[in-house]
Amino acid sequence: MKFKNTSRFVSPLSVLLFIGFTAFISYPESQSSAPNPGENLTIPDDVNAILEKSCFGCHNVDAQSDKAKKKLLLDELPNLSKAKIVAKLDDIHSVVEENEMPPEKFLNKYPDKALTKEEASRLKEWAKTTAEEMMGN
Amino acid sequence: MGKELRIILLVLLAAFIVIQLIPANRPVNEQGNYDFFVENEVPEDVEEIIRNACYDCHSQEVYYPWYAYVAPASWQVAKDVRHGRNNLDFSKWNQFDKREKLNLLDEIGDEVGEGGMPLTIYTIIHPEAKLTIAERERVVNWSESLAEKVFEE
Repeated sequence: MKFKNTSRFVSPLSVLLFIGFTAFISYPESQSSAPNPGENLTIPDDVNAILEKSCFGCHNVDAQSDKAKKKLLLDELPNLSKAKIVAKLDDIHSVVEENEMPPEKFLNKYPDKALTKEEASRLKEWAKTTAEEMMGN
Repeated sequence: MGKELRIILLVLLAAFIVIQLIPANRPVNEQGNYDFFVENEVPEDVEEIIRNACYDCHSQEVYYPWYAYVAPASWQVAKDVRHGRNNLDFSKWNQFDKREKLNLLDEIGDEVGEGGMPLTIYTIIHPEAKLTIAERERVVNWSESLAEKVFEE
């Protein structure tokens, strides 16, 4: 009986503590961010910032677009095999070069996500040099 | 049968006969000594999947069925083979450099893994080319392991 009574009335303090705890444990997930250094690749901070601004929204494990996720998951990129990373870097270079990414439809909705000329060339330069370094050129 | 319907059918028949005169320019199979499966030690089950699902567009061993000789289907077949070989020709794998091989293997994994290949129009006519989820996974895993081998070469 005593047990029943205590469970029925939950003190405001425990409610606050519960909310605080839930917010604390869910915080890292809702704040998922661009790739961390992995086994085979460390992405420089400035490139990370560009990827986070223009690419990460669709190319991360929690994103909605299956097509984008299957093509490239930026949060998993550093942990892929070197063979796979080279191919993905070549892909990144090519879609930026051809102006295919970010897609036009997406940019119509979020024009602020467009790559500036400088960002596009930094991204291409990084993708190219990193892939070449990995290939041992 | 109404007169109008008869005229329409006759016109369609005449058009069908006339379009047979337009050449489809089916790409020919070039004879070569390179065997992709032997040279790359491709496991038998993967070889069977690739031969059934990919080789009719992505190789120099294309088998042209009867409809490949009848327009307008022949135009589509010729176009698909040209396009397929242009993107990837297993029979000329030895002509790609290391970097191209890595990109192609990545593309194979992505296309087969996400269901983009083989094309639906092909699997409707060739049910044996329709891949199960397990077969798709097998190709994806194989493409990754071959990519690692190529990378280490």
